[in-house]
This record gives sequence, C-alpha cells and structure tokens, in this order.
Amino acid sequence: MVRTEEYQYLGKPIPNVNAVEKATGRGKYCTDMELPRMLYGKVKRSPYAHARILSIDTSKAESLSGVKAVIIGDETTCPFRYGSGLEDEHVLARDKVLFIGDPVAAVAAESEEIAEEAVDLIEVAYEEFPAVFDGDEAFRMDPPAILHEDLKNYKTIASIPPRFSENRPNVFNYFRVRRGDANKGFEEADQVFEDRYETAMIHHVQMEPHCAVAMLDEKGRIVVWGTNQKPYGIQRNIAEARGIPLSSVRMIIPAHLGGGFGGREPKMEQIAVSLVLAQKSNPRPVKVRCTREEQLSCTTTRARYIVEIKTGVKKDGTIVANDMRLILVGGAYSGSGYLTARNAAFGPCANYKIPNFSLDAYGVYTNQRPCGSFRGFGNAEALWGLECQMDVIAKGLNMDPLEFKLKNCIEEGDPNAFGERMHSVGGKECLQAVAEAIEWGKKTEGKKPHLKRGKGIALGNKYSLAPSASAAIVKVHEDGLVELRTSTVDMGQGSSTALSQMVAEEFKIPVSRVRVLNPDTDITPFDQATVSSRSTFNMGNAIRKACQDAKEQIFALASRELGVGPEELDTADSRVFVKQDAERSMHIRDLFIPMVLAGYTLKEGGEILGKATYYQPGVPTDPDTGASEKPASFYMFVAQAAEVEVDIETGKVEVIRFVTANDCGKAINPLIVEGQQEGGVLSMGIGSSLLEEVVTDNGLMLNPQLADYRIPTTLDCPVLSGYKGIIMETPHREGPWGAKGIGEGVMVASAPAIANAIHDAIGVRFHDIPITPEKILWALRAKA
Amino acid sequence: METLNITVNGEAIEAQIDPNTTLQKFLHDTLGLTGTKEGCGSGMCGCCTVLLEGKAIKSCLVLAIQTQGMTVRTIEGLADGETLDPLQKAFVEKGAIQCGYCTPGMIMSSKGLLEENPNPSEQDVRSALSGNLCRCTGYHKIVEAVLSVGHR
Amino acid sequence: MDSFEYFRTRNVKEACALLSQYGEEAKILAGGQSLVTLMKQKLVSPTYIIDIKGIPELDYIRYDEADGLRIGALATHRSLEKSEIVKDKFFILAEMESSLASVPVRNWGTVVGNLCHGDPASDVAPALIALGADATLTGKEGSRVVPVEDFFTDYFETAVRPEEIVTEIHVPPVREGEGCYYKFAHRATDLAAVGMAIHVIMDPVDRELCKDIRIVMGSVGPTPLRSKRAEDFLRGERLDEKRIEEAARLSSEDAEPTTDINGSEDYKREIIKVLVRRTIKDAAVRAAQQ
Repeated sequence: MVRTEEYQYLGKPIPNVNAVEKATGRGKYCTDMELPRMLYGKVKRSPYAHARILSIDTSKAESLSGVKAVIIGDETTCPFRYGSGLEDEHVLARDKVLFIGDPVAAVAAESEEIAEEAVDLIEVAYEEFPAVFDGDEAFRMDPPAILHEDLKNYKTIASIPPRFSENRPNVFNYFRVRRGDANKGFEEADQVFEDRYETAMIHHVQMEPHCAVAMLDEKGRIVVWGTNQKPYGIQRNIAEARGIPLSSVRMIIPAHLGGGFGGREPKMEQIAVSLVLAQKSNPRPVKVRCTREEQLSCTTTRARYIVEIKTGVKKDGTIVANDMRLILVGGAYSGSGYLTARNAAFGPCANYKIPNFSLDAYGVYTNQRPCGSFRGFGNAEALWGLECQMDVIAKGLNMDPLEFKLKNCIEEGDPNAFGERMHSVGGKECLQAVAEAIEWGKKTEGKKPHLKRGKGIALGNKYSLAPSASAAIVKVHEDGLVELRTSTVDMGQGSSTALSQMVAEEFKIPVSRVRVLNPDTDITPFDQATVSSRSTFNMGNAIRKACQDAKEQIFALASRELGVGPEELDTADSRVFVKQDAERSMHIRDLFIPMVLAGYTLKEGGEILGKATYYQPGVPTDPDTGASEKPASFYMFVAQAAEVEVDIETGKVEVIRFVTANDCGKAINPLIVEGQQEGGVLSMGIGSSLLEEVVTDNGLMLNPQLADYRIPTTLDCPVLSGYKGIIMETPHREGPWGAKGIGEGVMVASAPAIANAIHDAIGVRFHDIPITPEKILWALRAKA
Repeated sequence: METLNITVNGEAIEAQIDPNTTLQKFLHDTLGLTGTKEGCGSGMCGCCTVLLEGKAIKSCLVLAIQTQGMTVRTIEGLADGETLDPLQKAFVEKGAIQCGYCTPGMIMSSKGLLEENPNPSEQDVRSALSGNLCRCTGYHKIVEAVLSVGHR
Repeated sequence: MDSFEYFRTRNVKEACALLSQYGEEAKILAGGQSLVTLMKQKLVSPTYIIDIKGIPELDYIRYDEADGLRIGALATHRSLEKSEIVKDKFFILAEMESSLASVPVRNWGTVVGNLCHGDPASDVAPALIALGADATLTGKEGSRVVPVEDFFTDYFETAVRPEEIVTEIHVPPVREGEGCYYKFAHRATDLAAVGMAIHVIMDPVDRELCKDIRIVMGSVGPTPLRSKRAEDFLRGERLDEKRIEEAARLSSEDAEPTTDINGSEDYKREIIKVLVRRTIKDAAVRAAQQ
C-alpha cells in the first residue's frame, strides 16, 4: 500500500543534512569538546559485585599535584536517588556497591593521566557479601542476595509506575496480561508446545564512548553536555539527584552524537556535574569520558532474557492459546530497563491473533551492571522466543512456517492481547514480500558437501510508547529561513534530516533553507526522549502543528497587505500568495520593516514563532489484565528472512542472504529508512544472533575489548547482492503524512529468522543466542 | 620532550611532544584536528585511521615521534577548500554516514585503498575496510559509496 | 602509557649498543602494533624505547634463487603480502599475510615484530616454520641464527636475549612442493583460534605419494607446534582419506589447546582435525598442479 501523493520533499532520498560536517571531520562530538581550564574526570570502581563500603580514604588522591576535586558517594554528592521511573540509583554508590564496576569515587584533575593515578591512590575497604548473577536464582522468593532491601520505599514515577512483587524481593517490575482463558484454550488445543528460550547479554557498542562535560556558568548554573538521547530526562535526573529545581540545570546535546541505540544512561553526566560542584571556588569545567573498556564492562547493556512460552494450536494451525513468562535479567540498577521489563510484552501481544493469552513479565535485579534498554526494548528478546517456537509449531504440524504465520498474523482491526484494535498493520504484506524476495520454498545447495543451506522466516513488531509528548518550535526568519527547535537527538538515525524535510514540505522551501538547532533545554522545548522509534511520529506531528501555527501568524499579517482573508493564502519559496491568484504575492521579508540603527522587526507579535505540543495520550493498562484500548502510539511491523550456509565440520555460519521488509508508514526519507534497515540487520541482527555475547565470570566481564567482544566487520555481512531491504508504507491515520517509525523494528525479528534458517539447514533447534560455531558442532554431534 | 617535525595536510608542523604521545592524541588533542577520533585506543575500531606516507594506519597504535619527517593526511586534509573529495561526496550522497563517528577513519581507509587500487572489486573494498568498525550502517552503503568512486 | 626515554637509532650497531647498555629495561620499537598495545594497557612499561623504524638498511625483501628469501626486520606485513616474488615463490606467506588483522595494521606492523612478540596465536610463525625458515639475532658481539621452529620458547617468550635484535628472517628456497595457510577465527580480523600451516612435497611421478610434509599448528599451545607424529605418519605414504584422517587425529592429540574466549579445548581439538584435513588437501592439490 503506497500512497501516491506527490510531495516536494517528503519521501525523497536526500542525503543527511549534517553529513558533510561528518565527512569533513568538522563535526564536533562530546568526546571532542575542549573548554578553557577544563579538567578531566576518572572514576574509581568497585572490584566486588556485592559489598558494603566500610571506608574510603581519599587523602593520598587529594594531595596529588594536579588533582582539583575528589568525590565519594556521601550525603553531599548523593543526597537522593534518581532513576527513569524507579529511583534506585545514586550518583556514586552509597554504603553498598552492587556490581563490579559500580562507581564509588571520582577525581577531577589537570590531565587524564593524573586523574588515573589519583584514582589508584584512593583506598576503599569493603566487606564482601554473597552476590547473585543468575536470573533464575535472583528471581526466587529466597534469592542468595537481595540488592535493594528498601525497594518498596523508593520513589517511582506516577505515569506507568513499576510494580513490585509481594514475595520476590529482587523483582523491580512486574506486568501481566490476561485475555480470554489460556487454560481453557490449552484444553481445547490439539497440540501444546512448551519451550524455554534465552538471549545472552549484549552491548550496544556505540562507536562514541559515553562522555559528558559539565561546568558552572558565570551565574553559577549547571551546564552539561552529554552523549545521551533524552536531554529533558537527564535534566530531571540531575536535578532530582540533588534536590534542586529543574531550571537550575541546562542540558545540551552536541550537534553530533556517535550512536545511541537506547544505551545512554546518565552516569557520566551525573559524575561530571558532581565533580564541578565539588570544587570550592572558581570551579573549572570537567570532562568525564569512558574508555572503551569501561563502556563495554560498566555501562548498560541489553539484558539476558529468559522466555518461557507455551502455545496451544489446532491441527489446522490456528493458535488458540498462549502463555508466556518473560524475565529480564537486569543489573544492579534498573535504569530505563524498569520499563523494558514491562514493554517487552508488547511484541508477543501484537504479533498474532491469539484469543486466549496470558503473559507475566518481570524484571529482576542481579549484581551486574545495569541492563535493559536496547534497540527493540525487550521486544527482540521476547520475539526471539515467540518466533522460534512458532517455527517449531509449524514444522511440528507439517505446515509451511510462512503459511502458519499468514494464517495467524494479526491484521487491521483485530484485537491484540491488550484488547486494543490494531490499526496500520503491515505484517502480512511484509511476510509476502520477504518470502518472494528470498525465493521461499526454493532450496539451494551448498557448493561443498560439508556446506548445508537453509532458509528461515520471522515476523515481528515494535510498538512505540504512549503516553508520549513532543513539543516543537519553528521560527520563520525575515529572509525566509525556517529554524526548527526540537529536543530530538540526532544520533545518526537521521532525525534532523527527516524533520527538516517535514518543515520544508510545510513551507514549500528547500531543505537547505531549514536550520535545525541541537537540543538545549534553554532553547529547544520539551521532548520526552529520542527513544521508542517515536520521533518521526510524535515530533513530526508537533512540527506540523507548529508550522501551522507559524503559517497562521504569517497569513494574519499578510492578509492585510494582500487584501484577502488569511484562509485564502498559502506559502511557498518564502513567499505568501493568494491561492486563487498566485501573482498576488509578497515575500516574507516584506512582513518586516527595517528599524533605524537596527535590523528588521514585525510591528506586532514579536516574531513569527510557531509552537505546538503533540501529546499522544495512552490508556493506562489494567493492573490485572493489562487491558487497554490504547497502550501504545502505533506499531511497526517487520518480516525478515535469512538464508544461511552452515559448515557442518566447524559449525561456522555464513548469512548468505537476508531480506527485511519493514512497515514504517510513510517513509519520510527512503535513504534513511534503508540505512536503518541495513544497520539493524547487518550489525545488530547478525551480531546478536551469531557473534555477540558479554562473557562474565561471577560478574566480571571477560571480554571488555573490541578484539573479544565481536561486532560484525565488513567481512561478516552478506555481500551487496545478498541483502535486500523492502519498505512497506502502511499508513497510520494519526501519523504525520501517515508516517510511523523505523529505528527499532529493524532488528526485532533477525535472530529468529537466522535460527529458523539454521534449523532448516541442519535440523537443529537452538534455544539461546548467540548461536556460536561451537554450539552448532556439539549439537550436530549429539544429533548424529 | 622530543621535537617532532611532521607535515600534516600539507602544512609543516614543529612541536614539542612527550615520546609516549600517540599520533592520534597528537592530531586530535595537540593539533585540534578532531576528525581523527579515539574509539577504542587498542587498534580495533579504526576510528583513528589516517594516511601516513599515503598508507592507511591506525594512529592510536603509532607513536607520534615515529612519524618524524613524514607526511600525514587526515580527514580534514581531504577536501580541496569547499570542494569535497569524490569519496566524501559519495559517502554523503549514498547515505553512507549515520552517526558519523566511524566516518573519518572509514573514508581515510577507503582513500588508502583507492590510491593503491583505483578500481577495486566489492571483495577488495570489504577486505580493505575490515579494520574499520561501524555499528550504524551495516557497511552496505559504505561499500556502495567506495565502489561508486572506484568504478568511475 | 607510562613515559619513557626515547632513542631514534640510525643503524643496527647503534641499536645494539643501546640494548646492551640498558638491557631488560629497554624495548625495541619497530611497527609497535603489538608493543604499543601492551604499553597502553600498562602490561609492559619499558624505561627506554629504542626505535629502529628509521633504519633504512633493515627494510628489504630480497630473493635469490640459490639462497632463498631474506626478509629484513622492518619489512611490513603488507610488503610481504604484496611482493610479487613472494606470491610466486612462497605463496603460503602471501596467503598468511592477507589473513592477518587488517590492512592498516599490516601497513605499519612488521613481520619480524610479530615473531618477536611471541604470541602463540601468531599467523607468521607457523607459516615460516612450515618453510623451514630461520631468524638472525644480532647483538653487540655478533649474530647467531636460530630456526624459527626454536624461536618461541613459551607464551609470549622467545629465544631473543635482552641484548639482541632480530635483524632478518631467511626462508630457504622452495624447490618443490606447495604450502597452504588456513586460519580459523571467529571473524576474519580476529586472532587465530586455530592456525594451520602445511607445506607438502608430492612425489613427481606418483602424484598421490607424499614425499615430505611439514604440519605446523598455531594458537593451540604455548608456542607454535610441529605435528611431528602426523608428519611421520604421512611421509612416504599415499595421501588417501583414511591416512589424512589419522594424521588429523594425531595432530589433534598432540596439540595443547586451552579453553578461552575462542572456544573450549575440546572444540579446538575438533577444529584442528578439520583444518589438518582441509589444509593438507589444498596444499596437495597445489603441489600436484606444479
């Protein structure tokens, strides 16, 4: 379903508006920032996974020449806890450390070398406690360790608060869905399948390591720059952790951010701010930067997930019942992961028509670094379990997996497990498109007897959160340039470009005549965050409204000059013209008048400043059944198919073909959408399925270097002709020009597509990822 | 302290440096040429790739003092004023740049390839860029961009 | 990286004199792809760095039909990889080099430097051992020659004395037979999980008779390992499936792999078998084509 309206700027594959700065090296990232008198911060981290801090002696560090500030986790540095929805974290660990790498102190010094030396001079005495790393163990009613004894007294956010468990002390969130009667459904089923699936902990590996720069301006106000995706969220975290007003913190995101993928929690920002505040007089700016090793071993990851799934089907392949339990094996602090634990449920709830559905989703603490928020927000993990089992079921019924999915997949108007009527569902079309592109049903042969080939297919979806809010401001300059002020963070996903195209389309001006400001809480209005694939939809709608507001101001002013009512006017190329008689027009400049000694002014109204909020309400989910008419803003659908070649002598897998079809609504910029598809599949899709794993031993990461934490290189991806991306434009009635989003839908089905292909190739079913060559070899031996 | 004489992007530079300064730190911190980035510091990610005597090297693993008397070309030295190098232009136009952190290193590696092999195959391109990691693009449009310049 | 005193030397004599003076506190720097990495991780903190990168007399690859190949201490991986004479006469070396790390590392890192690092996962060592190469170690008093097979003594330890520099590698001319280097790694740019270098000479009359063979395994022990029992088993015999299978089994038995991030010890033993089989077959095919 492709709309055929003609747009001037929408739907055009124009290059990124900030690409030239990146291609010339001029673009400055947070890690490139240098301020006068700047100090460098380094962090002292706990070597224990669970321990009480008995004492910290910072005297030697403080007396080292070049050290200007040393902080520890005390009342001064950390009066209050902060969090994304569950406030369970201090700036630095207070009293207890909860993971290997938990920050306990920090130093600001003249150079990174001096700061590192000072960190080594800080002496900390600990009393070690038993720790818990295993998800099943942590989940118990009597776990080997309890991380947050005071959990029930922590502050929580009013909107979508976490829900704790009566008798499981490490559970930091619990969510349930009940629709129909699953038990009855299982009784009526002809066959019931029951499995357990797991995913390994993996890291985002954003190319720019986490970094923050903080300073006090001349009025003593905190100014922070950071590598994060939620300027307003971080502003709140910084203010709440110190009990100061929001307005006393200015959060700026530099114009360029080297990747996000959901993994940017505010630890660097918090520590940088505290190191500035700790300086008694004439405080100097502080930059705190993670080394790659710190980033890989201490910052947030995609959690290990345990997916237990039971499905009942009829002989003819109709799904009649499904019961799932999802456990997000979290870390020491919940971070945004508190919400991931709940929202992982959305994927299974909205993939298929399932009349009897039951789901329990948990997040549990373990003594590891924070885990949870990662592109897909738990949905890739939940769908890993769902889509593998659907493949098992189809083959168990002797049905073509594609036919099975087409039979059961959710469609427009169907109720999902929340009871919400689905709108804008491109699942079927995506399935058919990838099946055709990969020549589903046609078997190809490996070139040598030890190379076995197979194909697999998977269906997925990714919701976008609700409630949701974005505000936008557009200022029309007298020369016709339109300045866009939003707090959407462009971290490479191309938001500045797509949003510019929207403004360009609204004003009918070239994209080069749109200027996008980088997020700054002093200047750009509120945006919830650049997460959940929400910006095209939410910020797009806000922008449309803001442009409308600006145009109304323009037309009100111009109507007097042109002698017609404002409703008869339109604008293009920075001119205002009468719709019925385009010759009668004026340049926007002529709405302004020159003033002596000065520039140009409007006689009234101040500026042409359009502003709007797009607020997407949600309907809160029922605490017992999860029922809600509108638990999400929209859903993106995706189908992916892979063809793999397995070397049965070594277990090595090569992905020789991969096709993805993504239903993103109107593609504002197909070039950008393609880029998201390619990156999602070829880097994180292949990586998470075959290569990536955070390997730990009692909470210590054993592979915190890029040599051992393996993301795909150019040689690990299929060749150009082996990959195909298809864009499906199933429009959404509430999306700007029918657009939805793309960022996360791109990889929520990749792992099951590959695993299902491996099963087709060698007849072995894997229940956990990554599927390494060694696992394959042993499985083949066991089978033989 | 040692005295380093080096030509960077055509400009003769003389500087006093500590011998334990890597070329990457010298370019990024001392000269302020921030295009040459540290992504890992261990020679794995390629964000620090520059051309040394025309050959792509990982500047985080090279001591600046070892480049005495040599010529270095960084991403900032690729464009001719405001005219982009064909590689830069191709990267921009083909959508091969997302977050851009790997881009300078990726382009310099590609430049090194094209100087040796003006008409590379897809496999040649992938082999030449295997030491440059990217998390955003999956390399797809990067390979397309380099091939488009190669096959002119 | 900790600070150090830096010397830029102009010739081998100067470098040896400095080494002799500072002994264990000094390290030779050539490409630094291994050394600088260690220094940045503070696993090694030499007080003195003796830079030999600027010694032009050490940067060469020379070939003589009678003498063979001589690789100077400063020859980069890339120059070995791209050398026409190496591709023609010592193909296993070019093949090995093209699988090593990535282009930028090969552009600056040296073949000799890789050997001196003593990493059991080295690609360079097995290939050189398969060709019977030797290394020239030069000190203040003079030079001595050590076969590359005896060069590695333990994990990251070599036969090089504190006052010595490796100035050259010599590869005897390959009069007959062909070699093959096969690297099993998780990604093409990773260190070998298992490396295999085999040089085989087939009988000129009976093309399936193995006249001589060298099987060298990398990354499966504290040093590169010659699979001598397997070699003895195949030497003078016809290379049929069964014999190759047994040779593979013997190699796997004689290897000393350890469990690490690349896989378990048992898995590596399986891979060794596969690699021996495949590498022998490919080498034999190449040798037969001569």
